[in-house]
Amino acid sequence: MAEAYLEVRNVSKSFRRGGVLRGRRGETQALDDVSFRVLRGQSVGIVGESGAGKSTLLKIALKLVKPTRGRILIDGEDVTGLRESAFRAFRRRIQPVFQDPYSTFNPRYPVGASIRLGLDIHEIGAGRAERTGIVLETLEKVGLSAEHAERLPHQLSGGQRQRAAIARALVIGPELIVADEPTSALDVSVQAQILNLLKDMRAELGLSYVFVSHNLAVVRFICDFIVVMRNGRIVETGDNEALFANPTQPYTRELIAAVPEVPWNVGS
Amino acid sequence: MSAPGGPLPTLTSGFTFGWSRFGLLAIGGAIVAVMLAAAAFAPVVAPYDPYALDIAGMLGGPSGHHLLGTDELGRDVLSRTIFATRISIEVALIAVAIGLTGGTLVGLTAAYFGGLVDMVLMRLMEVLFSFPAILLAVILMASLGTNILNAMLAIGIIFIPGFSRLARATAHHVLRQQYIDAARSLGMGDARLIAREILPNVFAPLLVEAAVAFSYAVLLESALSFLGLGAQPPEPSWGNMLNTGRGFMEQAPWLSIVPGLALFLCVLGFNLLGDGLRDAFDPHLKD
Amino acid sequence: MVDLAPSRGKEVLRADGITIEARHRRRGRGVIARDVSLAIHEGEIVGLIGESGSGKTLTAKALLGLLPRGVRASAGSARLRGVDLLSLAPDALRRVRGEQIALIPQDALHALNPVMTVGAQVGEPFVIHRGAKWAAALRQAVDLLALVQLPEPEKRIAEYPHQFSGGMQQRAMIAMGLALGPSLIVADEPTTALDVTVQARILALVRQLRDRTGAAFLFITHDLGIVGELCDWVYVMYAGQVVEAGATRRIFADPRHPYTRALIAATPPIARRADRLAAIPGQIPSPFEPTLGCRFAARCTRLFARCAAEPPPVDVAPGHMARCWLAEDGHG
Repeated sequence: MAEAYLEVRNVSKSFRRGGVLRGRRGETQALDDVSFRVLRGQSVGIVGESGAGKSTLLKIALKLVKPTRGRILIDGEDVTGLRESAFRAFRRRIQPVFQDPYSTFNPRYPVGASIRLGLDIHEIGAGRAERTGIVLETLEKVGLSAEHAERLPHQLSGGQRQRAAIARALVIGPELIVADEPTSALDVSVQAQILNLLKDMRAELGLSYVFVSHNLAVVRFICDFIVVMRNGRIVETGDNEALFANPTQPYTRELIAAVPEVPWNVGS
Repeated sequence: MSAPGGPLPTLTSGFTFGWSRFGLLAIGGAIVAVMLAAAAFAPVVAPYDPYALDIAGMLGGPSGHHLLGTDELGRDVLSRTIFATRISIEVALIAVAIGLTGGTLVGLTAAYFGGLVDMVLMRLMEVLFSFPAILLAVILMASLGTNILNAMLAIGIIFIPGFSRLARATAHHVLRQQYIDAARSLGMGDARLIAREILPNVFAPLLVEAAVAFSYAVLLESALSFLGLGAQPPEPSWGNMLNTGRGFMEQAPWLSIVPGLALFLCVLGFNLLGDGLRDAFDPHLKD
Repeated sequence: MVDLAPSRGKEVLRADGITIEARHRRRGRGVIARDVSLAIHEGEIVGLIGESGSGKTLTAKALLGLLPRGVRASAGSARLRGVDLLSLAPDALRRVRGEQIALIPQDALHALNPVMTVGAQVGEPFVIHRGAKWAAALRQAVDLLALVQLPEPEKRIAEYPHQFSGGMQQRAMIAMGLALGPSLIVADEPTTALDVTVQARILALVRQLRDRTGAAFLFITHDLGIVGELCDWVYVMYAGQVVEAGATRRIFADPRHPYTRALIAATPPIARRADRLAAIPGQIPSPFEPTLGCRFAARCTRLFARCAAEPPPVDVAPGHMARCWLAEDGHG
């Protein structure tokens, strides 16, 4: 029986409106009692439209945002209340891939340097030379070369930047990748490349994924287990095949039906 | 050679010179370069010792010997004007440096930590900001003592709120970028984050603001000297030269015109330079 | 010019050989679109599909005379009911815009004026083009908002854009486009920024509006699914050229251009869980890099000797065109 690698337990998040002095003048409930688990080696998709709370959930899982209520457990350990210094070791094990290929890298530095940062922070590898070697190895895995490492972000195409972003996430050897719409800003042909890459990386490195997207077709392709969210709540969950074959909730059915489908007379 | 429909769209990533922008930058840059050269090489360039008295030849108009005339103590106006450039540039440099450093520190801290820290710092800045510059400078000089060093400090303090606002706004924009989240997810500490990720991206607009602030600093220094609070006679400053020149408007108008013109040119030069820099850094339309 | 439309309704727009060029300060001269030909007939929803860099958006903008500075249509014609839009003077163009041809831009939120009420904006075309008084214009606005299925339109006209949801804003933009009853409405990715359920409703609305008003639509998108569901006819663009064109059902049943095939294969399906997506290696060429021969050659899996020369548009069947050497000899 596989163990839960990441567990989100009864997480709620509300945002206060009004400033420091004005006090609690109304709240926005971004998440309401959300719970789910990601097993080792499993790929979980979180789908929903805008306002579903998917990005907030992701930021909470990465401990970039504190939940108002609820707990986060990594490999059985409750990390919710941990201070940043204690949590740092866990950061090695969970890495993000973000959506916007334009702002995902600091525009001032070559991407190779930004990718090497993780190694510097966590002191992986003996020295600069060895770390650079690890960076280049990882770049090769994602289909980029040493030449790309020298370039500034704006000198790479959107697809290349996302590959570099994946390399940055992989370089410190995480066990869980949290991806927030990593292909939404890419063209279809490039998206296919990146999705294939993500699938391959998962198989090769035995990673777990949490994949947030508004695009059901993408989630259908890459996720084993699906969580459907709406307005901060979970509407339905289920295995990929089961959910798409027999969605039980009306919202889930509406969501699936809304996706415009290509007439699949051409086999792929 | 431009296509019908007007000038070309450009994609700039950082610094680029365009034909229309080049003008401002070039002219401004040229004037500033002349000013800097005058300041740096004053002893070599100036024909006379700015302190050398010649009572007999006082209030002489522009002539072969004294290109821009002599003042009420017979000193060469041209030489004094050139040496005064030093004061203006020095004070402006140090003052802007103080303002830039202080303002960036305050602005970044306020943006990064937010909440109470942000509120307290920015209200403080607003208090400073609400004083008219000259008034604040006079108050500071009165409490600190009237000399050039204090003038630098006073003007620097006046600049801090402006820079802090800009630094804070730019830092806010940077903090929203995804590479900040990525760095935090890697476990990067606060200090390193500010230094490596935020600061370099906040730089460009601050630099432009600094260039514009320069001209204002020169103006302020002259104002202080004019009021007798800056450079003390016999040290030449455009401000105090203008002040003494007032008394001789009819007999020796050149005593006012020359330093006035020099001041005008200096401010103009820095303004153009600032405008040119702002345009050069401005990301244009993508095609 | 090959006749693509033997059995379609009356022609509304015929674009022939449009070439769009741009000059870039550093990159020099670029060809955004080359020899683009389209035909749109009454009551059709025509899809213009392409990825970024395909030139689809600028082609549409050229039709409306809205090309940005430094970009111009250097060749070709675009006849809207006989009048060539590309050769009209600015004044004449301004009269045509709104009356004969309208644009629904991509980002409704930023296309709407935040300080004018929705009613004023939707009614404005009547004031400007028809010299109507505001009272009459606002009454028209109410009718239009009802047409696009906004609830309680009498209340809506007094509201401001920020009070509308994304879907409602887009409906308001559509209402503005329809206002003067143009023959052709150009919709530039109108649903890209919307949630998928909202998008589904907007697509249904477009279909209904076409049925009710008989207007023709040129629907620009990067989403094959939308094309499949909504469009009667489709033009596939790649790197500035139309590489395939024809009736939608035909194109999907028998795609003849390798790019069209690859695009279909690269789109992840919903109906089943695909094992792998057929990705297209490489990148879209930049308009500033001229290529010899076929623009898709570098990424094509069926490359052969003839591809070194640029393929002409070939009719693989009546009303079905593919710009590929493979199509020419009846292969592919």
